[in-house]
This record gives sequence, structure tokens and C-alpha cells, in this order.
Amino acid sequence: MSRPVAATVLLVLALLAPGCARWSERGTMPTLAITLRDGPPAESFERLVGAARSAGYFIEFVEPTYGVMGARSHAQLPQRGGPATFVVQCYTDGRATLTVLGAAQVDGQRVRVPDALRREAVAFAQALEASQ
Amino acid sequence: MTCALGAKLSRFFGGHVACSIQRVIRAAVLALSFLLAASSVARAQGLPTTFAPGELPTAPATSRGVGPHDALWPRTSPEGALDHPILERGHDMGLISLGIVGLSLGMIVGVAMASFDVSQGNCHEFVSSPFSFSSRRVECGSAPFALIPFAGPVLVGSVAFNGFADGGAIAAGTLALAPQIAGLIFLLMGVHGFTEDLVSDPTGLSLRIDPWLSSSQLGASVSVSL
Repeated sequence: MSRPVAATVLLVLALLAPGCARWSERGTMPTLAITLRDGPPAESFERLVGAARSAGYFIEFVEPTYGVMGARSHAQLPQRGGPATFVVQCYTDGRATLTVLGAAQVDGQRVRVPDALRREAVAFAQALEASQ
Repeated sequence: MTCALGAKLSRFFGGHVACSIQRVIRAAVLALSFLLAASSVARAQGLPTTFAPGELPTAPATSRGVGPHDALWPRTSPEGALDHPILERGHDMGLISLGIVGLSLGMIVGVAMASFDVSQGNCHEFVSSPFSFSSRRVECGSAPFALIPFAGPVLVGSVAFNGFADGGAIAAGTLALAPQIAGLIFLLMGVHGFTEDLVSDPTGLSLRIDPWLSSSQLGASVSVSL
């Protein structure tokens, strides 16, 4: 490879390098928390399930006894393995958590998910919190 | 037994009647055996077997009043969970800063060349005499061009109002274009793009709107919670 060609390649790589960081398709996503309204836990859980259904989510599983439900995400992801699932787990301390099952990569202590899924998860968490 | 009873009845009533009664008895025995078999299958599956314990275990009470509905719910939520999550959008300041640095670098090179032109002279003036042929540095007079974006360094290095432009100045001015072009690209990418960050809403404000409709009225209730 001649020097001008190598210099051109290096220049192009240098121009693209900062862009790769910006255009990354994956961002970190912590566990999202939803504050439950004071009241009977069964009603809080029913409100969560109702909010998920009214938002158009297909409920994959509901376990009121264990305070957990799974809703299939709407995001169309290019990855194999089907759509991701939002898992909502209720706790007796008055909070619920939302995590993503599938389409996530564990990078050390952080979980990386596609940007589209992350946006949808945040919107879903906001809708669930608004139902309380 | 049915055969003996059938034989006696046959002798008492005659052959035709005794035969009908025998059929009825056979059907009854068959139905009874089916019932017995069905009940034994049900017991084998344990379906109807129930018992009532004396006292069911209850979960310890918390501030929310844990009852039997959430007895099996986990107790404490994870500490690192993000409350009131929102997506904050903003510009990629790294790209914008890099763009400004690139543009500034080109301009700095242009200004430096202009300063050198004013102080030392970027151009050459050739002097010939009957005994020698020499050159001396003279001011090109193109220093004000350094204030022009992008083309400034090129013009400073190549335009000569006095003498002849130096090859080194031409090369330096042309090379100063590269950081400016790169800086412009970075700046455009940073300004037109955006970044997203998942943060906790500091206000924790939650707005809920519940529309309602009756036979004659339409309205909505708005509830705000912090």
C-alpha cells in the first residue's frame, strides 16, 4: 500500500472513529423502577397489567401470586431469537422493576440493549407509573 | 345369580317376559360397574381429595400492609434501579468540540502564516547584479486573507502581491484545509445529530389524565403526583 493510499485510509478512519461512538446501536440500560401507589397490592398489580394491555402489549405471562408479568415488546429488532420481553416484577416495598429479557448484552456490570428497545422500555415504564 | 334368577323367572312367567327382565338386570349391573370404575379413577387422580389446614401461613406486615395477595412477592427492590426514568436528549458535545478544534486549528495556521508574512515575509524577491543572483524575503501582502474561513490559509500561502510565493507556504496553507474540513464535518454531525441519556427525572413529577364520559357530559380528571 502506497503512502498516499495509507494516509487516505487513516484519514477516513479518523473521520469515522468519533462517528462510531455516536451511531452505536446499543446503549446501556439500568433496571427501571416504577413506584406503586399505596393501597392493596393486588389492585396495584391489576393496574399494571391493565396499563400494559391498554398500551397494546401482548401479555406473555402473569403471575399475581409472585407479582411478576411479562409483556412482549413492539420494537422490531434485527437480531434473531424473536422479540424481547419486558419483565415487570413487583416488590412489597412499594416498587416494581422493569427489565428486558432477550436482545440484551451483558457488558460487565452494564446491560446493553438496542436504542429502539431502550426508548420503548422507558415509555413503557412511564405508562406503568402513570397507571398507579 | 342373574342366571339363576332368570331361570326361576323364566319358569314362573314364561320365556318372553323373563328374557326382558334379565336384560334390565344386566344393564343395571353394567351401569353400576361403570359408576364404580369412574369413582375409582377419580380417586386415583386425587381430584376430589381436599383438606383444610388448621392455619395458613401469613407474611410479615410492612408499611404497605402486606397481605395474602403479595405474600410471595420479593421483599426489597434492587438499589440500583432507576426511579422516574426519562430519556434526556442533547447534542454530542464531543463531536461539536472536535469540530471547533479542527476549524480553529486551520484558522490558527492561517493566522500564523499571516504573522510570519508580516514579520519575515513569505515571498521571495530575486535580485540580480552583474556579479551575483540572490533572493531576499519580502512581504507577500496577503496577510488579511487569513481571516477568511477555509480558504484563508491557502490564499495567504499562495497569493503574492510582492515577489513570488514560497513553495513551503503554499504547501502549509493547503494542508491547513484538512483540519478545517474535518472540523466542519464533525460540527455538522454534532449539531444535526443528538445523543440520548437515560436519567432519573429530578422532579419526579407524574401527570395522569383520566378522561370520562357520561350520557350527557364529557370531561377529564387530572392528577399530579410528586
